[in-house]
Amino acid sequence: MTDPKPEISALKMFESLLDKDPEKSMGLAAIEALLEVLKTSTENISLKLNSTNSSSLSENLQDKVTSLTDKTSTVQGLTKDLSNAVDEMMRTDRSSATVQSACELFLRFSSLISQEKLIDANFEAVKCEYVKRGNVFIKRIEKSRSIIAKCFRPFIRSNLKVLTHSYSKVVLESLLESKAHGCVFHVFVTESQPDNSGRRMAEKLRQSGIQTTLILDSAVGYIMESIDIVVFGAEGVMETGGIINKIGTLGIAICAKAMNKPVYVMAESIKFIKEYPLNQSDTPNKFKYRYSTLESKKDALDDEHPLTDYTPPQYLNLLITDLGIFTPAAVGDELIKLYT
Amino acid sequence: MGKKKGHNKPQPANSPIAPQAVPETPEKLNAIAEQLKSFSPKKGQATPPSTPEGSNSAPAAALPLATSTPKAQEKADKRPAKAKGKPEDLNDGDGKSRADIENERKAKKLEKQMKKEAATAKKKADAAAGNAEKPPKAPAKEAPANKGQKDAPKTPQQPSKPALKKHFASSDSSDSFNMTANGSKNVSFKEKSNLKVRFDIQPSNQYDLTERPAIRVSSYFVHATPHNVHPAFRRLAAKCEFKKLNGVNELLLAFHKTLIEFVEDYNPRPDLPFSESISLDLQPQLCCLSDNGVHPFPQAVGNLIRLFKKQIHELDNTKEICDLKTYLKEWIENSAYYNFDLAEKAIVEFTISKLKSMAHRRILTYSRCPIVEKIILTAAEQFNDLHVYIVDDPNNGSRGKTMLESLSEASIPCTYGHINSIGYLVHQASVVLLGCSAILNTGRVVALRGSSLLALSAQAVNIPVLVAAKTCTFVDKVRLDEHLSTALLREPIETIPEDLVTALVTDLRIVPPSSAPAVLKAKQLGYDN
Repeated sequence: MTDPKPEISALKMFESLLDKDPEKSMGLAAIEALLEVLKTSTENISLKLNSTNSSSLSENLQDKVTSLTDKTSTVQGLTKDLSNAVDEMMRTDRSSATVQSACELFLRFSSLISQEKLIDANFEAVKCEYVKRGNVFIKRIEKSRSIIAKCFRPFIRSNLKVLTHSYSKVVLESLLESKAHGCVFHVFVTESQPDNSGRRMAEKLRQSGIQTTLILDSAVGYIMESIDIVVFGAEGVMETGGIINKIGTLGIAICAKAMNKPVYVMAESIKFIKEYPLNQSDTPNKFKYRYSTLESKKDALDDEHPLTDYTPPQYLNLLITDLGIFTPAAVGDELIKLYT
Repeated sequence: MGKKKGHNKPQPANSPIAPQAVPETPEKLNAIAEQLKSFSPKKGQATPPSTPEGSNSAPAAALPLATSTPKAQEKADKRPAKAKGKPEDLNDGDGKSRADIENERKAKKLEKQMKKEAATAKKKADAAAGNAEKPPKAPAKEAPANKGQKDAPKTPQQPSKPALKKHFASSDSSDSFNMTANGSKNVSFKEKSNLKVRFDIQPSNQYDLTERPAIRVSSYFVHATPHNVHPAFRRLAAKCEFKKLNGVNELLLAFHKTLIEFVEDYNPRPDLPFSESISLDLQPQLCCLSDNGVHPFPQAVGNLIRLFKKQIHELDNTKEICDLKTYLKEWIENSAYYNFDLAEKAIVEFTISKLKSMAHRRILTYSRCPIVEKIILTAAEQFNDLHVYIVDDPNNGSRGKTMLESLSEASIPCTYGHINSIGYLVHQASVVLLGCSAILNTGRVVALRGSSLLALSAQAVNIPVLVAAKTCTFVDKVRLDEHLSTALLREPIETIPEDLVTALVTDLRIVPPSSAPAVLKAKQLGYDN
């Protein structure tokens, strides 16, 4: 028999998926990486059963016996593998909020197998179920961006002035879709320092023929009076109904509220996180700083600039997700439904 | 003949007072007479106090004392000798001294004088209709608590309100007070005064902390006979009456115990199946407590009763009676265990996890909630930099002081202030922790009166407000009639709007107030279940 395949590093897989397709949703990449881990651990176990390596026959038999009798522990082992993979992926410098929520939801969904199927308790069958459900989940998530874009269309009329912040793939797709259906509108994008990601957004928008203006982060107060709607993406949606997004979001949201402009957030359902922050200092550090920063400057975080901020639900009007359009208050309920 | 507290009434001569009234001592009467002498009503001053004084001259036959019931008798006996002066108290059945008689005469004269004043003042008061503030009496030393809301028509909705707290303050006394208008019972009061005064102060408006609160002479037990009301329920009611049970938590626990006792001692009727007979016999108990449904039960208690009735309904009548009884008792005990021991542990854990992530742990809280106390005590074990600011309401028993004591014993640094210092204290705190007695469907929080002030101030300085709410206190109601007193618990309550509350810490999880219906659904506390 072939040698057992080397353990796939979830992190490497995640990174490679994102490198191949930069437009891919981060959450989706994380889930696909996890699915690969799931599949490969299946193969490893079956290989273990059939291997006729240097191990002696009796050892082989022992292996067979243990892996046949320890059915419960292999499922536990699988769960352990998967959670290790998730931890590994969290050590990314990309948005860890998205990765965490996506992975957790994926795992919950996959392991939600009905009791009847578990009765047979053939571990292979269980694994196949997991993989099947994983695929179903991925298919659903792949469509989430287009569902959101469709939900958003009624909000865009012609000659609307839209303000957005930083680079969000969901917002980009929604705006492109509206343009493709013939709406004419003007988008203002903030530069969003420190990484200038707003510039990329403006480029992409211009390429598809949408009238775009790149503005300074500090010019938001100035421009707000002429804006009609404000649209954000989100790195994570909290149990409170608030969002975690690129730094600067809170300021824009407060300004919009003060001038009575509606604020809409677009987020896929895999971004729902089961956390309840009360204020900025209550949001976990792993969402605010990159992993590398956290590692290197564990104790001196006061000097670090946070990369994200938390916008409380009172500044948001609606959240547009692939599960539907919600008020911030309703998000809590939806979250609970997802996580149970 | 020093000034005594609260007894400033002239002694009406020959008033047919019920004999059980607590007798007044001669010194007190003299003191009262003296005070009356010095009372100098000014012109143009609406004299609300005069009117009850004037009315007191009428026989206090108008005043009801539910003297017929044995329970009231007990209560009357338990009352302190220095009861709040009810007119009927004043009658000293014993021999009067000459001085007393003289005083009586003087008093009567003064009364006549005051009646005249009242008449003139009445006209002026009617003219000055917009004046909401009750003008202070000559030396305006009255407690601010005394300035109840004026100019609302006398409340017709309180005719059944049994309590009569009739006190009035004389001009000179600095510590008497309690002007509570009573409902329809005192005929003479109505006649004398056209001043529509309504005092929206429910338990007695005590400024003095040491005195026992006025006994609410109520028709609690009017419809109960010794046969059909189990003494456990009566004991519960008496405890509440005497403020031995403070707050919904203690009441709930005691109610559990009462129910267990009741089930224990219950002998079902021979002709009916157990569940029907027990629900039939439960009715008069509850009626007796709630005065035939006039006073609704506090929300959490209502929940418990409803669930209990549901359990009874679902009983399997084919089983042995003792089995059924044990089943019911176990159910009640479980409910107590889940809703008290376990729920409180969970709430404490969740809150501490929130406190952990805070840089400065300066907690602001109001009065005394047992759960908040537990939270703070447990948190103090984990964190050293805890500081607690306790805001208290001196008019409602100053329960914050008990909290202050217990926290100080645990060596937690505390700051204590009255509600009027909220503006100052809120700037020092970093989080507000409140208790509650119920959560409504919309997420509104029902809590002690004064809590909303903390929530409002917290919003103004942008600090989070956490409310510790057990899931058994969630109700499927949208609004409460806050001014109606509830059976058993007479503490004044109010509702806090849901947009002032950052999070409800329940034993299920931390939940935004808008998700209250989800909790209701999860616990099947909805009315249609």
